[in-house]
Amino acid sequence: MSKITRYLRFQDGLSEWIGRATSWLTLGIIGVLLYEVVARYIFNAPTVWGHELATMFFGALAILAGSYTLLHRQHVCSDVIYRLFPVRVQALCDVIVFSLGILVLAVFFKMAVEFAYRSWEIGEYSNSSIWRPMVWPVKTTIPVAVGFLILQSIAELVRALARLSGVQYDDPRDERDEQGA
Amino acid sequence: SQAAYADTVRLRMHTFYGTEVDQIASDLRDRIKEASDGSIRIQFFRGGELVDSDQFVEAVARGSIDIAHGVGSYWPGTVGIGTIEAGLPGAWVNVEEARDIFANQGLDEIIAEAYEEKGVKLIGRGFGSDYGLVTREPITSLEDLADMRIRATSSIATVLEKFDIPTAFIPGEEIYIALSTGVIDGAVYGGPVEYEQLRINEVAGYYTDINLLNPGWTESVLINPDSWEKMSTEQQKIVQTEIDQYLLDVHNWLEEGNQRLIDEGTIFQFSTLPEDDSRGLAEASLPIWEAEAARSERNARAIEILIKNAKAKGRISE
Amino acid sequence: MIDLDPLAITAIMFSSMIILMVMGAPLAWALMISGMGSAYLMFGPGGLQFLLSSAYSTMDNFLLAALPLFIFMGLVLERSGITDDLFEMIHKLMGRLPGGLGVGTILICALIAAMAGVSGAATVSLGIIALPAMLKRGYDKRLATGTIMAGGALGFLIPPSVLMIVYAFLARESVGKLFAAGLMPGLMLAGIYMAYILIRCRLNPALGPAAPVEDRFTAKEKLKSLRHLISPGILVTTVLGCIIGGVTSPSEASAVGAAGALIIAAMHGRLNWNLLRYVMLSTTKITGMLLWIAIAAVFFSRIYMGLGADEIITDSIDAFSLSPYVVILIMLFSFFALGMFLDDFAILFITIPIYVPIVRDMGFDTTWFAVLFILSMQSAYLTPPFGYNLFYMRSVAPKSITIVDIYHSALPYVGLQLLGLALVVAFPMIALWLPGLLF
Ligand code: NA
Ligand code: NA
Repeated sequence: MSKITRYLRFQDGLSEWIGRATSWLTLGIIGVLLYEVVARYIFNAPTVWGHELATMFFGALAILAGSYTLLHRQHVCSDVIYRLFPVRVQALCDVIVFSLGILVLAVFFKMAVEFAYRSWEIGEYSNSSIWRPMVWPVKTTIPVAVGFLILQSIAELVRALARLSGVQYDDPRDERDEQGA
Repeated sequence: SQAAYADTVRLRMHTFYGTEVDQIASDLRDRIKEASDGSIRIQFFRGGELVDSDQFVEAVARGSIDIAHGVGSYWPGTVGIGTIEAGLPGAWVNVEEARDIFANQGLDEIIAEAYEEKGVKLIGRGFGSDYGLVTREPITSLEDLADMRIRATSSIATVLEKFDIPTAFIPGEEIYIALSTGVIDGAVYGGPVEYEQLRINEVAGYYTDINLLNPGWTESVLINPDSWEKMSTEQQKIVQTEIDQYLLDVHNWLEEGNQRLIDEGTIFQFSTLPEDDSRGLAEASLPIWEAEAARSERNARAIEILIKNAKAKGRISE
Repeated sequence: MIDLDPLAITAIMFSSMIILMVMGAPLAWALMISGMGSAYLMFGPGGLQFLLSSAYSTMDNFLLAALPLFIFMGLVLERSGITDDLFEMIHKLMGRLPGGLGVGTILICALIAAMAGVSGAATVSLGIIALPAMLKRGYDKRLATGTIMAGGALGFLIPPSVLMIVYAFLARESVGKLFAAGLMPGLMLAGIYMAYILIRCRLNPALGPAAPVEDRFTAKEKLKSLRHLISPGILVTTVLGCIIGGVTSPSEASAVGAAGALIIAAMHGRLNWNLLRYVMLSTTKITGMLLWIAIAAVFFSRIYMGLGADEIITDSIDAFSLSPYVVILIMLFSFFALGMFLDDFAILFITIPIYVPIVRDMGFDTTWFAVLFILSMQSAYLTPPFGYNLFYMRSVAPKSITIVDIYHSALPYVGLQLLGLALVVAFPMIALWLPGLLF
């Protein structure tokens, strides 16, 4: 097994694990909202936390799903023209796109770390309901998610560079796609 | 496409209001342009267009926008004095009193200090208007509310909860549907003008003045310190004067609109909570004052001003 | 900081985005990269912060929390076995009518649309079940594939609808109102499709032959097959009833729907750990895709508007003194043209923040405009080269159906969608009557 394959296997495994862990939030949102509906409609006792907790679960799910979606190549792109390019040109395009992407995400990451840190530092709480929860946990999911997305983007960049330079390697993603199909 | 002059200051100003203040904003833009001989240009953004209202302080501090026009209760989690600034139940009963507390009794100085800590400069104070309860069914007393679900946020919700009135949080856009289908039975969101704008009167025809706080909120205008410093003293004065006028225009527009709707009396059936109930609410809100004072030394100083004022007005005894 | 006129800003931002997309960049990446570049060059460092604030304001939105749940619900229904039962019923009830299976397919699509918030659920599951059955019966392959794709696209128009939720988030509309406004146009369009199938099969019965004599069923069998309507009927009634009856807000109804879909799957004996895991993971992927586009597109449009470039649109309306209806037609045309190349959510995020204030200023009803948008997006699902339902169909159709067949089959239905769109433009009451009645 080449070094590239080993690295990709590790990185893909990480994103896969993040995605699987994150996916439990879907059941979390359903559970919280059902509880809220029952508490309000049947017992006339709406919770103070239902809507905000569901929103927090949703926010974490939305941002943390990014790297898992990238791993499974589910981020929408319009490849009508791209498909017409020769393989090497496609690889070059990928190198450019993912290099620029990593740069943008790095800026995003730096801002997000400060954003979460400030929130934690002052003990920022939300004022939309009288529950007044701390908001740093959900704000912290942003740098975490962007960090994981950068890591997966690096794996995509490595793949593109390998294709561009004609290096042969076994892509663990192809194996998995075959197993899945 | 206009050429850029080296000395032209462009300021991005963001309000939390929607299209309803378009005319007032456009007047502000024109006045500032004229008074500054075109050296200051205001680019105006409505609520939610560039930044969510609860992110205003951060956005002004980072320079994403230059000026923000918001309400302290959007960000008490960031600027701890926000709830007091926006207005605690029972803090003032009319706009003259509120103006006096902020300008002459030192409240605005304390608040400005809090904003400075967050990297923004407070340059304007505006006053809201009526802040009442709309319901699907008529209510004559607090007791009627006991089996209703009321949409309320922040301090009002805290007070209502003390009377075992269930409260729920519903986003502004959904209040109409939630009232029409009965997900909630009432809401505290604004004055008659705001309710008319959301066409709430079609689904909840009863407006009750709860008589807790009037004006029901205050507004603040914040500017990025760098944007402020790069203007000449004369330019600063122009901005300050015209912003004050703008805030006054907004306040007058609200007051006139509310008064007109109350006088016409067609879209809502208006009523006022019995005095006993209002007093009960006011008493129930005192623990909120205490809780706010306990949050920080600065908050304690602000509450002290409010208490001193309320005593002087004879609303609370020792 | 560079001071540019709006035209130059527009040219730079959109051309850099399009170049990146041609290079195969995922849409979210194209929007983030060109947005970030423009922010840094033209806005200064303060502009970069908008990416973060766009991310947080998208995450911190209760209306959007319904999104993963309606997706979840659609995925469960797709695998619940409900489609097999419904198609068996249609087969028994309508087999004798020329084109009957096509008409029945539209009915099933409308029913699934009333349960699911996305269009994939109906297109994929009927592509697997109804398409082979129709082909075996000698149905014209282009009529059959077109019917399933067009029917599947009803998923966005008939509530609940994921697209409407995101629209409401961007345009600050009420989700419940949009749901109500979509129902009548959706049913109207389903009616138009059915009429079209019946007329074509009447004119040329070879397109959709009636069932052979030995393949007919007794009245009792037919009556018995109606039982398959019970569980979907209960689910539709529960979800919409919860909203209309004031039990839940539209967002909360999504949780009721998701739980209801799981119950239906359990009743069909299909609920197991594998299904649940598949649904959770697919929901995560689709949510990640949608929300990262949302974040990037909110960021992109905020930068664009923050630079004052949206003035170019209002200015050109003034400059050419265009009449309001001409402006609406131009907007609709732009939806259609973009729909050939872009994803529906991409079009939503790029155009709606800019169009809606203009539409409002011209004095039109914004709920009506929302319905026009959703109708246009149905066509985007069917117009080649980029259309989701075309891709869904390709992924499930037998090899004997070529991509050309699929493209070709969609065209008459695109024509019918444009007819439906024209009707709603001409008669806004089709959309506005129900929300006026309900709320
Ligand atoms: Na639907
Ligand atoms: Na298309």
